[in-house]
Amino acid sequence: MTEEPTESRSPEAAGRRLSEADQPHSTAAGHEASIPAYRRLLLATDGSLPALAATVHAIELACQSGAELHALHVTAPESHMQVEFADENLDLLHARPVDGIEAARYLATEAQVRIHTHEAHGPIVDSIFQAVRRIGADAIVLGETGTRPFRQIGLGSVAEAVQRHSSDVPVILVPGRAEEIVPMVKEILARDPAAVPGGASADPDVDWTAATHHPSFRALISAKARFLVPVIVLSLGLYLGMMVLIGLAPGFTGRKVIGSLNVGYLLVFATYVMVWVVAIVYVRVANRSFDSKAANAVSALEAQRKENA
Amino acid sequence: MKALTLVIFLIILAITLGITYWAARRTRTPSEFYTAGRSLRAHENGFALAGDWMSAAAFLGFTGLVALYGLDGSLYAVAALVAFLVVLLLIAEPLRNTGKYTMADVIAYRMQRPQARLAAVLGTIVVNLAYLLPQMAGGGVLVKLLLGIPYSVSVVFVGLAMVIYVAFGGMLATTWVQIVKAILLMASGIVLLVWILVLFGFNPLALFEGVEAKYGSELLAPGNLLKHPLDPLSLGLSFAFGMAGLPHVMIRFYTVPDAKTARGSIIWVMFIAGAFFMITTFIGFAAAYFVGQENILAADPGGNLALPLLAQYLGGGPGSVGGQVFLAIVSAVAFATILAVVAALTLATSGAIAHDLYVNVIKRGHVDERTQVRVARITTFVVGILAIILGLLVQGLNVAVLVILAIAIAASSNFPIIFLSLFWRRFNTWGVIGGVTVGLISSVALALMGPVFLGEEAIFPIVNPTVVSMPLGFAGAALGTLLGGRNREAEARFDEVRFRAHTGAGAEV
Repeated sequence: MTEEPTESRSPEAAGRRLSEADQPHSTAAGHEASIPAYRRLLLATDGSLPALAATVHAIELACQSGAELHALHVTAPESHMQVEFADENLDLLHARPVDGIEAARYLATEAQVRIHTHEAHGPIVDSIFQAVRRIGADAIVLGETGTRPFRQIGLGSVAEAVQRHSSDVPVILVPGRAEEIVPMVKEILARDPAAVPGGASADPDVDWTAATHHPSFRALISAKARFLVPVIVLSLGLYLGMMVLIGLAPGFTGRKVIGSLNVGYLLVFATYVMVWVVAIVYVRVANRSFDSKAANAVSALEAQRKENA
Repeated sequence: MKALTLVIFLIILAITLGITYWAARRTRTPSEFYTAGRSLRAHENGFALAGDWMSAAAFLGFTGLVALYGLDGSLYAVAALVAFLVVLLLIAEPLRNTGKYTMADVIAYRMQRPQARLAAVLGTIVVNLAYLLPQMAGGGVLVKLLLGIPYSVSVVFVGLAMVIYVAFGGMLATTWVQIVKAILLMASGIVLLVWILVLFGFNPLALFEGVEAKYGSELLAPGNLLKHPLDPLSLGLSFAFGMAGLPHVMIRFYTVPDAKTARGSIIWVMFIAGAFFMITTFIGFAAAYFVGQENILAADPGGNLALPLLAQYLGGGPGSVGGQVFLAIVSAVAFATILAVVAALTLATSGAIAHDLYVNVIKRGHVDERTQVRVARITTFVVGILAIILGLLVQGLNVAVLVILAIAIAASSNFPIIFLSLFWRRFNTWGVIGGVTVGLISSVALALMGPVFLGEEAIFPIVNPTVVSMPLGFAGAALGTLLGGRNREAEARFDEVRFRAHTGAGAEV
């Protein structure tokens, strides 16, 4: 941000190169991409490579037409904790997922374009159209997946769905070519490592091994071990011991104690009580001690992440 | 009298379908379809868990076992409660903290190989189908006896109703069905218990003495059902560790927002289901005392109708209006139980196929939300049809046999790999494959060679294979891990899994 953009480095120039090479196309009938006259552009971004290409293109369009630029990031309900397969594109960016909104803000500021940012939570396609109506946008700019989607579920399919459902607002799909975008992002990151902060969906800034060695986490683990190991050994030992006793000594366990009640039934009813008592004690200890220790470990993790980012 | 049964029955069905319709209108994203949008509170999820766990096996099976076999039946009931202690202390929180929709998530996250997820998914599907069979068979027999329609029609009816439940409502609908069902079950159990206590002057010991007077002290002693010395231990192991490997129960921990709520919901279920399990001993003995073992056996050789017959007796006996009304109510509750459990099972199975197999293994995550929901619905229909076909095939098979098999498979193949994924750094893809393969094969083979299928000529003497097959499952997992060589990447990810499992950092809210 402090550096004067030069022709070879500016993202705007990179975007122009990209758009010339790939010919982003508008899909609305009767609309020609040659002389756009947009007033409000909505850019939907998730920080994926195609979305970054779309960001660059949207900034360029806003420059040309003088349109107001709005960037929208939709958090889908399942995007916080991805357990899908790792995306090979992550390696291209040094395993660094990109916060789409921050990237758009950064790139727009560099190109001296005013940008409004929006966050939404919910089904992606529906949220995009809600934003279109709220903003009064007259075009939607989206990345089109030629490559694999990033860590969000299938932006490419979202682009198709948006295109399918958009009857009155033109949808501009920008193809994302990794070989074009990755060098650009790397360039920006090399210049200003804090320019594109990591998103919330993955934590490459976190050193998990260090986190598990942090005193706060060790305190949690040792507190849990101190309580759980003896409790599990004792309660399961009593329960399985009862089962062994009933199996091996049916004569003893069949012996009557109180009226018709025999040793076996007394053990069974005692097990009910034992299980309930252990469960209540565990929940009390966990709520009082484990949760606060876990919270300490998480805040230590957050502190470490901020330091690294 | 049949008409009365039918009317009460249809009213309960209409109520549950209404709940399903209401929930269906609120279900939109995959997250909501699978896990109720993670918005359930502790008591809601606790009741739903109780509903899952108090299946036909508990309501009809435990009472019947107590009526016919005494203490051995009561061992089944108490073991079913201990299962939740193991889940509470060991599995529920780490699993909730690291997973998204299904149990395979945590395994796949550590291993990052399609093969690992595939193995876990196979375990899930086999266990679910094994658990689905007794429910279908139980539902079919119950409806057949109640309404006098043929078994095959009953099974198709159960299958269709369950598909409608799941396909249009998803988890939210099955959750509400489970809650309604759990309340109905508890209410029936409490009414019966109070009635029994009134008849015995509020002295439970008098019931035991009455049973002893009628059948001798042998019924109260061990060894009537579980003949081998290791049988009680094997039963105890199956239930204690099998539930942690039952996907349709564990999927419920993804419906709560945090670990504290997960814990709270287990406390709820331990008191609701635990009290209910304790009550089954009294209901079973009362059935033996009032209805008589010979009448229970005549109605169903498995003893599964002990509770409905007791309700009929307390209402005034067969033929009386009160008796028929009681029979109808209890049977409708039992049917709702089966339907709801079957729906939850179908959901967990279709979740495994749609999310794990289709979205993540076949499509590698390249599927949008709408397609995911559509695939999940199609899968539900396929599983429903499969359940109907399998339900038709198992006609005449003992329901308890299949329940034991499902729980033994879960304890032997699913539990070891989940436990090791959460707690063993070196555990790897080959360990998952080894554990699932050895656990599945040994538990199924030993059960097939056991007394249940072969009777007196059993090659393997213990009813429940878990005492042998669970250690074998662990051994297979350990052997696979060691032979597979070290995977530094997966081991590095263990730190993240460990941190998240214990703290809940980064878990979906």
